[in-house]
Amino acid sequence: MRAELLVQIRRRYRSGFEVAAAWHQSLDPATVTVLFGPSGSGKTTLLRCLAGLERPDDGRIVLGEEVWFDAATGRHLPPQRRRIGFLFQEYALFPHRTVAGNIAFGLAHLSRAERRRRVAELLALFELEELAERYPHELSGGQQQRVALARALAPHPRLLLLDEPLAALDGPTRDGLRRKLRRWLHTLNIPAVIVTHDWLEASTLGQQVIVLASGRVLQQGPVEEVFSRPASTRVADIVGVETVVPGEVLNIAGGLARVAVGSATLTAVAPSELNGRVYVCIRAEEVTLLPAPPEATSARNRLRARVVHVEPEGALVRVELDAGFPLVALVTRPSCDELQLAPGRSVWALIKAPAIHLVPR
Amino acid sequence: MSKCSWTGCRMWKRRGIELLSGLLLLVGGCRQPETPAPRPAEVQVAAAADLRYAFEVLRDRFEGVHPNIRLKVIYGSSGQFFAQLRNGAPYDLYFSADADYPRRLIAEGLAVDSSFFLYAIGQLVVWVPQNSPLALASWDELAGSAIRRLALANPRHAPYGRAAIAALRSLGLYERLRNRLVFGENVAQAAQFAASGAADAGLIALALALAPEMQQRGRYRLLPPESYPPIEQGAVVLQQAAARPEVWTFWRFVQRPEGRAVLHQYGFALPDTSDHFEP
Amino acid sequence: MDWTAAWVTLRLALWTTGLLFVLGLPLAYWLATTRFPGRGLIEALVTLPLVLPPTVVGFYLLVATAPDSPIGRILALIGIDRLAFTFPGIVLGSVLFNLPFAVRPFTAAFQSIDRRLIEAAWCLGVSRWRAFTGVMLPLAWPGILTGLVLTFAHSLGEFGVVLMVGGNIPGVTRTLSIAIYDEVQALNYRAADRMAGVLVGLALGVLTLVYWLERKGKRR
Repeated sequence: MRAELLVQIRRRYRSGFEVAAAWHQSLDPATVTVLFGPSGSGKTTLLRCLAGLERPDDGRIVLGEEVWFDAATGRHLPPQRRRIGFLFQEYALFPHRTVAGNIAFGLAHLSRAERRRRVAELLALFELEELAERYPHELSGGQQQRVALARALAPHPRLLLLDEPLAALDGPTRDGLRRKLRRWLHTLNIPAVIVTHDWLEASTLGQQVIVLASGRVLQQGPVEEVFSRPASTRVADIVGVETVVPGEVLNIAGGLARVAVGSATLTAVAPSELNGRVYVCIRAEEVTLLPAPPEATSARNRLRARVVHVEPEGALVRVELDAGFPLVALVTRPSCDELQLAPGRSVWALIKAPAIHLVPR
Repeated sequence: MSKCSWTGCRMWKRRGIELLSGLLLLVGGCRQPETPAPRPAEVQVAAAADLRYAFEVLRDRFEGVHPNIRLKVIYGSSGQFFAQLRNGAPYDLYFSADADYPRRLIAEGLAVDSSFFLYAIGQLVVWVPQNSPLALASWDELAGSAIRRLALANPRHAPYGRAAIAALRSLGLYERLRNRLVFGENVAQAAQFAASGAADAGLIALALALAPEMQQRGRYRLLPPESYPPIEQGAVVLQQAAARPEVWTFWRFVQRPEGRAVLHQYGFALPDTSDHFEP
Repeated sequence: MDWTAAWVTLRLALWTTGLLFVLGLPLAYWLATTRFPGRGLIEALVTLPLVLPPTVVGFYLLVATAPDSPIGRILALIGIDRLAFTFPGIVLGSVLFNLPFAVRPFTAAFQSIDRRLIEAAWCLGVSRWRAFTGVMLPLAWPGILTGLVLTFAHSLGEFGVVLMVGGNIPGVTRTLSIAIYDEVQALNYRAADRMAGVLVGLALGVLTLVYWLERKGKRR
């Protein structure tokens, strides 16, 4: 029997809103599934059903050999018996217990010595040793998040459930913790299901992505696939593809399609079946900007463009261009300064054919 | 109040209220000139709890004869009225359930000396609910096992309570009953204890036992008048009301045959006669 | 100075507070966490004694438990003669009348606890009971303490209900507030004064002690 988590959930609320999803993921080696979508898409509901905090109306949840939920037999295991670790969106740390006390809370079944050992182990792993006797309200957001993780992992859970783990943190803290979280998940080899609406989080932490909107699964599959090949403009919109414009396929030859977009013509890799009308989807980071036309380049698309708007976003800069159609590029700050990007400036945009995705209209 | 989205609106709302209050004060202040028709004179009477039923009838009769005098009667415990009157309560006449309180008011200069009179002699009864096993043929029945709780007015400050204790002593029942006694704040509450069934019997005023509700619910027997000192009920006119003729009109009415007849009918013996109530 | 009455008063307040702690906590917890549609009605009933005069509560209690009433007859079956004029009787009246003073702060305390804290405890493998005692109760404790203190202080001065149901029996149902009233009626103002002083002193002492303890606990 494969060590797998099998999930089939359907939950309907009295208001009529319904959430449904199904997937499976490997437990050994441990994998991470990301439930991705905007707020209100039902992803937290799915997570809570996995935890046993809510009861689905239909479906099955099976971890390895253990049936956690089965609508057919009416079996529903309460959260206490599932041996899970749940990270709440605002951490839900116990305000009346210290950091050490919080971490030890799920370890009542151990002897005192064992408990102390385990707590020390986790304090070390998450770099919380100096904070062991502090109370949650004395900690920063990033520190609280680490405590919440340590607490969830203390009882050796078989499945980790994380609800927007980085949402409450500010930019720099978030970046640092994102990398650490990836490392910890890998080191601890615990399967996880993560809920997020941040594509960077999803692509960094997850192997499998399930895109949800209004309770329905729009697309699921390996991370790279979903993000670079969204199945519909809606998915593209949700995952954050910045340029989505209508176009007409002029012809297809040799696996490449020539598409008229606005007043420009693009070359894209064409899927087999494609009629005339399409949406053209381009990720901003796939657009390279040059001050002058290149001599030779593998990029099939070289477009002349005029800068319309420049917007800093952290360490990067979002550049809105008019290349015969509205195009968005993402460049680093140094590059922006080097190229002297400002509204009205004329530049060249390079896009590789595989980076242009066509979605039938 | 609806939400104001701009500070100017809030200011106008406040102004509006001030304006309105000002207007109201102005209008309220302007009185119509007094109508020439005379308003009825009002007399406030403080009456002991046991006088309730008698005085309702008394009032109706009195107001029938004197249509331009309105009688307002407040019932309560005599002791409480006494304390209130010493602190300036605005009553015009005081009908106590004993004679002591009115005399003390006179001694303190709060009541008119010559207004004192004994208006009634209170009578004590034993009252039991309809379904009580007591036949009330002999007084010893009271000490029987059927009476686990006997209600009476608080002897510390209620005249009927004092009388009840005296009666129990002289009937040789006090020692046997003293642990089964339950005290009401006044004789009316003692009656209520008995009427509700919470107490198995009550030593209450005849005037209360004659009330229709009490008659419906149970039966009574007069305690022998010689077993307790007479409950002499005295009345006075308060000094603060002495100048008003309508007060003295009522004072006279109670002492006249019409008034005395009502009191007699409603459970009181009358002083200056040997006219005790015959059940 | 009627020390017997003071003792009755103290016992009444302790019993009332104790009973409302044991009975009121589960009721408050249920009110705070249930989604039962009739919950509003139950809440209104719990709050009712706040708006009713105590004499009304006492009166209805008296009538409802009289020996020949349905309840009275059931009580007789289990050997209870009657509730009026007994210490248990005034305790019952006091408990009924002080219900909102205990249950409302308890409920508010429970409601103020983020439900996710309890869920977090469950996910850590902790049983529902341990989640209640280890998370809900410690966090709700300040509100619960407020309810207990309010109830105790309020029942020290319990008058209307005791007046209606007690029958003023020394050592049994004669509380300090009844004794004070009695002395006033008997025009014995000095005695009334003394006893009132003791009552105020008692209430003040208890309140001060409780708040001091609470502050000490917070500093931990």
